[in-house]
Amino acid sequence: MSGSLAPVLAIVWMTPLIGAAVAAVLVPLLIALYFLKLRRRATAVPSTLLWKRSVEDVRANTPFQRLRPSILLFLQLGLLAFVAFALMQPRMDLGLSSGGRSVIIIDASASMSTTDLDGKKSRLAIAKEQAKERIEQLFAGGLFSSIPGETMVISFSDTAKIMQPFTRSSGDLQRAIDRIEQTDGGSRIADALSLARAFATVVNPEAQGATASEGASLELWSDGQISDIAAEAIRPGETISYHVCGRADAANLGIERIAAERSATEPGVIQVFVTVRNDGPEAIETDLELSIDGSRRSVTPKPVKVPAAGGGRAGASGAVASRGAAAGSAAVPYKPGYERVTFPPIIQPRAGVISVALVRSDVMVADNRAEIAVSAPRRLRIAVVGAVDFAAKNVVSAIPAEKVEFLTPAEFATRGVKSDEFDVVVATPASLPAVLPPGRYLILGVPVGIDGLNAYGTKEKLSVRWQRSEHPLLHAVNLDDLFVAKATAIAPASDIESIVEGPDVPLVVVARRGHVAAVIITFEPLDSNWPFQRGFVTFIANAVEWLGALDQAAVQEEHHPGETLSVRTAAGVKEAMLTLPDGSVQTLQAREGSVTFGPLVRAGTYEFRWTDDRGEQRRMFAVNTAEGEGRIAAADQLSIGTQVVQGTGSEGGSLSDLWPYALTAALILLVLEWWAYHRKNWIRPVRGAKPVRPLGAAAPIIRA
Amino acid sequence: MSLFFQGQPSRKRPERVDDLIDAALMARIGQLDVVSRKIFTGKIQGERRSKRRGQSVEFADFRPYIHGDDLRFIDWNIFGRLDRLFLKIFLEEEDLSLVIAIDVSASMDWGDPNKMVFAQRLAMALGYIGLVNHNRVTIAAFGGEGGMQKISNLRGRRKTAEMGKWILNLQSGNTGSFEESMKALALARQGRGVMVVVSDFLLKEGYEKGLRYVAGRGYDLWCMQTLSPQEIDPSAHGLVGDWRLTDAEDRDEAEVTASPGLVEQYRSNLGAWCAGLRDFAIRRSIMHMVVDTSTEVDALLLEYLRQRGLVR
Repeated sequence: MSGSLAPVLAIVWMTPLIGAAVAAVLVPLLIALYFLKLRRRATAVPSTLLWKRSVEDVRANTPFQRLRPSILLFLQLGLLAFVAFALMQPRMDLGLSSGGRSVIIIDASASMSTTDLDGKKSRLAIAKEQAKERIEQLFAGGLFSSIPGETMVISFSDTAKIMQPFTRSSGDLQRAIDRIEQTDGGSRIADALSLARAFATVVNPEAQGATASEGASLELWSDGQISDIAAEAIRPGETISYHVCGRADAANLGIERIAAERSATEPGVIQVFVTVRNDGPEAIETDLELSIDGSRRSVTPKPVKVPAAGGGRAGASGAVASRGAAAGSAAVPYKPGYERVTFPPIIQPRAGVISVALVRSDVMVADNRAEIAVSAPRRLRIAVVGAVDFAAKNVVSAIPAEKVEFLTPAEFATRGVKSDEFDVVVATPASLPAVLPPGRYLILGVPVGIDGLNAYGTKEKLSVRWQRSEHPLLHAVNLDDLFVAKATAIAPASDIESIVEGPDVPLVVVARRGHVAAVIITFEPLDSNWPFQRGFVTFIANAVEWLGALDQAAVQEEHHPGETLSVRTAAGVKEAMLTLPDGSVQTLQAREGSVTFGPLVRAGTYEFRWTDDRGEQRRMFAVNTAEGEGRIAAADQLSIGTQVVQGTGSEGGSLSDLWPYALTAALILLVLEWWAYHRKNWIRPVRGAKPVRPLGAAAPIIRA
Repeated sequence: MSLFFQGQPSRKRPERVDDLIDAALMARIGQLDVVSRKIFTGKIQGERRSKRRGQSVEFADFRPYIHGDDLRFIDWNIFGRLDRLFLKIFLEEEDLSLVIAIDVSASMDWGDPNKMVFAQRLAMALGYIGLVNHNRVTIAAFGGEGGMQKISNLRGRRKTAEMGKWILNLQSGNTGSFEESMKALALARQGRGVMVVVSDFLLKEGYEKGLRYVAGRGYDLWCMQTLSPQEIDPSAHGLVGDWRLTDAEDRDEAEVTASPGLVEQYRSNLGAWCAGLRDFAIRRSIMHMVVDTSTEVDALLLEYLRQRGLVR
């Protein structure tokens, strides 16, 4: 991959400190040994006169001798260098199999659909090709490779999917990679790592159930924009090599969010809100086009200028960017440029799919268009059950709704079973049956029909200590002056969301149990000063609107891949048809008055159709690309837990151990050193050779 | 070729006189005689010509009569013809003094073949030649056990065994200096003759002073510098690597790394040492020879020393 910033031949050092320490100790020691006098063999000679006269001997009398170039020294230094190199456990991509288990993990999130590499193929397509080549390499063998290890293929976006469990079949692995499909979801690797580890864990039957996790070699093809990578960690024995897919300088403009809302007073009027996100280094101007059911309805009157992204490092994943920011001078976390666009109100009395698109193209097409499905204007149908206090009654009565009915508990018991008759039920706990029928409830007290609330007494004289201000229920609600005289103390289960808390006890919680959704106020409003505050009116209105919106009654929310779509149907409906964005149709079974489909994979329009006693019903959902996937700049390194893994470029394979090569070289040097030493001390026997005449012509030697 | 420095050298010592000189060698060298380049006077009538004119029958020359000359040597026949007095001069035959001084210091007891053994054999052979030719043979050993030792004035073939036993009993040692030994030999000179000094001349105090005592004082001096093959080319005999060399005489130590460069330097130094001795010898009319102890004694006598004129 030409655009990758990652070095092609990167050596990864697993234990650099050990090797460096050994080299730091042994190399000076070896040189010192050469400085020091050697252990010498002793022998008697007739006279040391002539020996002492030689200059070399005079030098030898100093405590340290001059370091003279010696082939032995160089060989020994080379040997030590190779040993130290081996101890550092270097790894490099040699395209060879390591012989152990390998897990090929391929990112199939929306950002992998970017075509920044060659303009035609997406990152995922190229990653798949490289992964297949890698499999060929793994099974091609190598000098130090044993039989090819088992390999597994996992793809992930919001969730992970095992494409192929551990196998030694190259063909199965190739086919598994071919089956990986592009998604429009986000990028979360936790599930993939869990799956890989679960499959790599070997149960030893002889060790009485003890498990042994065999360290697997993980090979990740991704662009590095993985939201949860910093929370993961490489376990002992595991190795991970990161193949960068994509360019680090890739810029993208996309629609991050879309929302549509019908006017409360004029149900036929829809207002559309869009957030445009810029992940490029420069501000970009663009026009936006709004269509409903395919026909163009509106264009922004003047180009929208989206500010440039700022801070951080374009080519680094989030954790690394923040780390770099902490260490460097540019202590600014990465922040994409956002621009919010509000379209003028549009008259759309019917149901339809509203689509907003950028009037420009870039390397990532998936987020250039966002859709949202709106149903026909239909006001809420509200039931008020039991002895709800006057304050709440007045607020509910004032909400513009199709109908507000006041029911006794007995009436609700008979009519409430038909779950689609009311959108929201406002009730006191005493008026509700022990088993709540499917529906959405605003309960002014702690009911018995919802598991996990765990009421254990009462608390008195409470004030608000904490509130989750960003929750839609608390939008524009100020609870600073709320004082509660008496509330039911509960210890809610972990899946019950507490949004307002007093000292030690929750005051408002949101509970979802199957097809029951409830906002529970743990005190009676009249036991507090809340009804006399403006926030109470806002809260009740928010709660009713939010509960009603759970079924898309009035406010349209957008959906993202990874979520589940659920449609409430009449009780007698058995099945429903779902048309997917690609036009294919699936038949879904309805259970307990609802039809569920998920998790979503692709963005686009999903249409449910079913038939009940009122005729054919139709619900449309629009699913948009996952938020955050607009950041497509490939990270050149991954920060996994505390470890930073350098990307190796897409053309590379997995990392092979280099220490066997270093050790082989060290052994060869050892043999050479042995040979050189003995060659130095080896005397060639001279037979029949002419005697040497060292004494010169001036002093001929008398010899036989 | 044995690696002398890598193992124990062979130390075969002569135990009998036959080990020093066998019958075959005796037969070969029996015809030789020691020759002096100078003609000296001897004490008793010997088998060689002397500068002293006198009783011998060999006429040498005439010279005019000078007052005081012995009237018995006037040639009266010439006086009758020429009426002038001339004196007849005759050559007188005298015996030759042969002194063989061998170095038996510890440095000589080294090498393979052993330098001291070689010196003993050479002394035995030369001494035998001297005895056979009725020369006065004196063998002196210096530097060994008990200091200077000497057996003097041996004459005649029958003294061979006595001389051989004396030589056999020599022990190497480490006493006395070369200078003192030469001085003693010079002072004890009896008559004139040939002196052969057999030594390695590897003397830390130098050989010059010692040789000055004996050079030119009635002796025709020969220096036979004996070196073992291991001294001449140590690397060829296993002196490779790192060594602590101990001087056989004064136990002085030298630590060497016998690299090719160092050995070359040593050989150059040895050559310079031998050349220095040779230059010293030439200036004082001393004959100098470097003898490798691997040389056979008979070859040395019959070829080299005959060519150089010590024997004929």
